[in-house]
Parts: sequence; structure tokens; C-alpha cells
Amino acid sequence: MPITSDQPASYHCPNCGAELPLRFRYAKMAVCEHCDSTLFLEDDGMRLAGTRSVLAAMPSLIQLGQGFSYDTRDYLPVGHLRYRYKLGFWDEWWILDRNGDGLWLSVDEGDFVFEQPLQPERLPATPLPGFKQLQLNRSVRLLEQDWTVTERDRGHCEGFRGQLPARVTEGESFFYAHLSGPDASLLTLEYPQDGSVNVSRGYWVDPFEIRIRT
Amino acid sequence: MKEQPHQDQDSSPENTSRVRSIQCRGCGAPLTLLGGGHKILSLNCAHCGTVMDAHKNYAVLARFHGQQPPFSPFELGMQGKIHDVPFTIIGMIGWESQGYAWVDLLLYSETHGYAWLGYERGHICFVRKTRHLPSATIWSLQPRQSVSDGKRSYKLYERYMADITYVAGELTWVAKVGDRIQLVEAIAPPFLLSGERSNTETEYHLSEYLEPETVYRAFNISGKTWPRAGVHAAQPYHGPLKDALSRAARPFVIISGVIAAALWLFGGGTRIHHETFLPGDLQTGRHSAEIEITRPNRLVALEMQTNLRNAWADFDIDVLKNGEEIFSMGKEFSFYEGRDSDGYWSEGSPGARALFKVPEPGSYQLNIQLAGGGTGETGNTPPQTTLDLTVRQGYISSYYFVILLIITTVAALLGPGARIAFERKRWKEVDGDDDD
Repeated sequence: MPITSDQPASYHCPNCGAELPLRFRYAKMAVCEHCDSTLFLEDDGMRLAGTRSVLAAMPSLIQLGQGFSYDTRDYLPVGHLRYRYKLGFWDEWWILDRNGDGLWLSVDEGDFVFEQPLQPERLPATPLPGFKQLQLNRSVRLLEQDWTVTERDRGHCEGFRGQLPARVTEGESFFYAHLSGPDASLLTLEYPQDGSVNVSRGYWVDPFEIRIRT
Repeated sequence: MKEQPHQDQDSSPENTSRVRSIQCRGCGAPLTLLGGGHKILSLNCAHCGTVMDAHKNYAVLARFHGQQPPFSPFELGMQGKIHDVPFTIIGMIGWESQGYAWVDLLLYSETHGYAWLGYERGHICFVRKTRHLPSATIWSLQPRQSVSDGKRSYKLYERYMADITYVAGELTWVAKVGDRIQLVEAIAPPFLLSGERSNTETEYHLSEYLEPETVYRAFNISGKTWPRAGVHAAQPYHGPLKDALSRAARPFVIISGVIAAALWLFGGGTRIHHETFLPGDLQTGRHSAEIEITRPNRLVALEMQTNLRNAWADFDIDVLKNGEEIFSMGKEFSFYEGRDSDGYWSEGSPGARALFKVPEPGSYQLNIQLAGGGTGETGNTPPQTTLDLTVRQGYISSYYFVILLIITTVAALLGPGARIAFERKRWKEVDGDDDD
């Protein structure tokens, strides 16, 4: 079954006029497939952000627009972000399930993680730990579970493609920490420059269990 | 170390990595960079043992002179597909523990990341880091105790210490000759869950046993083969012929068993005569009373019981019709018993059964006479014994079905027996071995 949404209408790129069919209802950002223009989607239409984003083609199991299945569920990658960090880069794919609900698939040289952003109401009432408090191998109790800090670094946005659920600026950077839990679970805390904290929760997946649809 | 001009050498359509060559900072030997990704932390010279920092312009971290490369059919740079994913061998580590040596080969795929190919005495495992961790109690379990990683249950196999004896190529950490780690292994063939504990961290890997011939073909290694020594901890039992034979034999075991039991219970025929021969009768020979046989060409059973003890006797038995002998047979009885240092023992039986058929219904007689015998171990005086005779007609022998039952049971047990013998070999090296 093709993954579609109930997005009522398609838009046209204000730069080149090409049709821009949106894959999901809550898209906040899109890159025109024809002219690479970056577009911000707003309530009354779309605004040309003026910048262009071009990602170097790299070998990847996940491809934009190519569906795949994992654990009996089907997904369609509709957006692609690439971040650089100390060792190299990793890719974030915004993927939609059959219901049109989205989640992130993070891919770094064979390390695959499904992650779902946690809404503010699901976060603890107590303040979240600051980035400096999250030292490597330190144990942290969050969301009624014990976690171990297994990675901390700074990510820089290299570029993006497709349609994304939030506005992203090429070149923007943030600190992040990965907290590993039981049963292959992972908690990611991101610290953007505006002082906020974004929390995502997910789990590691085995790339050998991902089936690409042909 | 100087980087040479880039030489793009796409060796296959699937290999899109850019292969470069640099010079070792220790000995100047040309080292091929196999494109192992950004998580590669060290480059190790196979020629001189120099360890270089892949993220700091290949600065020398250590040197290990005189390291001897361990045997392995694989070489750095080889490419092959495992589970349909193309991998390149980019690094190699030699290990040693308690006289055993093995090789771990680091694999890299641009789409699936890092994995290992473990080679030990002809056995090959495909090894990947696992995020499904077992309980920490795995480090204190005894062999055969169970542990789970949330996906399957394993039996603890062994714990041991291992030392690095050789490093070459690209690695995702800085490995040094002499580094020692503690390992724990639990098995659920063809899978093996292992924990590796060093001074700085604990990691877990999941190994999958692969048929070596499959891997050799995948990596285009042809010609010479390397026989497998012993049974690997993760090696699955493979006996398709024996298993098929056992499966095929099972219904026949049931069928022959049921038939043999039914015949034993209900195939004894109908009792048509009973008579006792006294010792004097047997010494001189005596005709029995008339025996009326109504079912010709069916088995007639003579069930005879003597009271021989530590003696043997040989009887001539003639079958008569109208006073004429139509055929005769001999039957020997022997029964010895006693006690020795092991207790009671016995040999032979004081009873016996003889079978025959008659061609037509009618009245028949038997003439039974003692032909010879002896008492004790050496005596040759015929013993004094009675003989109780019971005649049954319509007897059905279960003999052939018992033979079939024995044969099919042996065949049915062949597969399980081979499996048990295989498991004994698997556990032989760890049973009773608790070196921790």
C-alpha cells in the first residue's frame, strides 16, 4: 500500500513553479526536487527561504522515496538531514509509517536507531540535565529508567533534502548526548543554541532486518 | 608518513570506496587504505607492527616488532558478500588463549557498517556488535546455565582470558599486541553471544556460525580447503541423512511395535492339548494322547517346560498321524544357575517352544523321547526330568515384527544418537573446565 496522507492539496514551488506534492500533513520544510530551493511551509502557503541545499551522494541502505519494512511495518523516507560530528557524519531520515505518522531513523555507519521526539507533556517535571552534566559513562535516571551516557558530541547540519517536520538551517549546530538503556533502548538529548532541550527516545535496530522494497 | 597522490581503484562495481595508498611511518612500506569509514581509529602496519592514529595524521602510537601473522585463508582487501551485503576485509587481529589461536577479521560495508569474520581451526563465524545485552550475571554463570539477551535463550559455554598477538590494517579502536581481555561465551547454535571485558569497557557481540565453504565461495577463495578441527561452540549439528532416516523410521517403529505387541498379547493361538510326561516316559519314549488339529497350514506351537536345574537334555520329537511318523525334530534344553561374587546368575532356560504345520486337519500324536543329556558341568548321565506339554493351534509368531522393530528402532535412534555424540564433542572441552 503506498503511504499517503490526507494533506488536502499540493503546492507549487515559488521559485520554479514545479508541483510540490507533500507527503505528510505537518511538513514544516521542503526542498524542491526540481530547483533545490528550500521552502518553509506556513499556514497560508509557503515561503522561499532562498538557500539551496545539496547533499553529496553517499552509499546508503536508506534512500529518499524508497520504502522499506522493519519488524512487519512499512516505512517511507521523505526527508533527509546530514550532520557532521567529530568522527565524520551521520544521516537522519524522516520516515512515515502507513498511518502517515513520522519518526526519525538515524544512520551512522551501520548503527541504525529509530527515534521518536518526546512531546513536552511526556518529559519529567524536574529540569533536564544540562549538557555538561552528561559526562561519558555516567549513569542518569530519566523517565523512570536508568541510562548510561555512551556518546556526547556536537553536530553541525551539513544539508537536507525532501520534506521535514521542523525548520532546519544549514550550518546550525547543537550539542547532543546519547544515553543507552536496557533492551537496545536509546535516549537522545539535543541542546540547540536557543537554550531549549529536545528529547527523543528510541531503540537500536539491526540493518540486516531492514527489507528494502524494490 | 607521506600521502601519495590519490589512486582511485574501484575494484568492482559494488565497491564505490576510494582506495588510497600511504607509506607506513615506521618502515615506509606502502599501506593500502581500504576505506573503512570514519570510525576507524587506527591503522596497523602488517610489515613492522607500527600502530598509527587514523584521526591524527597517522601519528605513531606504538610499535610491536617481530609479530608473526597467524594463519588464515583471508587477506586484507578481500571482498565478498555475507547475507547479500558486500563487505571488505579491512583489519585483522590475531588472538591466543591457552594454546588456542584464532583470527578476527574486521569487515566494512558502506551500507551496513562494521562486522567481524572470526576464523578458528577451519570454523568461521560472522560477528556483529549487539545492543541486546544479557544480564550482567552472565559473567558468573556456570557452564550450561541459561542466559537471555531478550531475543533468545543461550547456555553459558565458557569464560577465558585472551591476548592479542597480531594486528594489521584498519581497526575501530587502538589494539596493541599484548592487550588482554576477558571473554564470556554463551551459545544457542548457530548463534554465540559473547562479552568482552577490558580495563576500559565491556562490549557484547553476536556471532553466527557460517558454513566455511559458503564463505570461501563468497570471498572467491578456491582450491585448497581447510578442514574443520573438532566442533565449534556455535556449530549447529548437521546430519541431514541421519535425520531423514530417523524421521522415516519413526512410523515403522510404531507400526512394528504395535503389531509385535498385539501378536504377543493375542497371537498365542488356541490351547488344544495339555499333557505331562514323567521321567520314565521320557527315558523310554511315549506317545501322547490324540491331538485334534482343525486348522491345517497354520502354525502349531508346542510349549514345553522341564524342571531341569544345572543340567541339559536333548529330546527327539516325532509327529505321528495314524501311527505313522510324518516328520520329526530335535529340541535341546539347558539351564544352569548359581551364585558367585557378583551374586545370582543363570544361563539358558528350562522351557522351549517348537513350531510346525500340518497339511491337513485330523488327529495327531506326538512321540517324545529323551535322546541325551547330562547334569553338572561335565556329567553325561541323562537327567531325571518331567516335561509339561501344551499344544496351541493358530499360533502367529511375532518374531519378524520384533526383528523389524529392532531394526527400525536402531534407525530411528541414529539421528538423535549422532546429535548426542555431536553435543558431547561440543561440550568436551569445557566440561569440568572452570578456569575463572
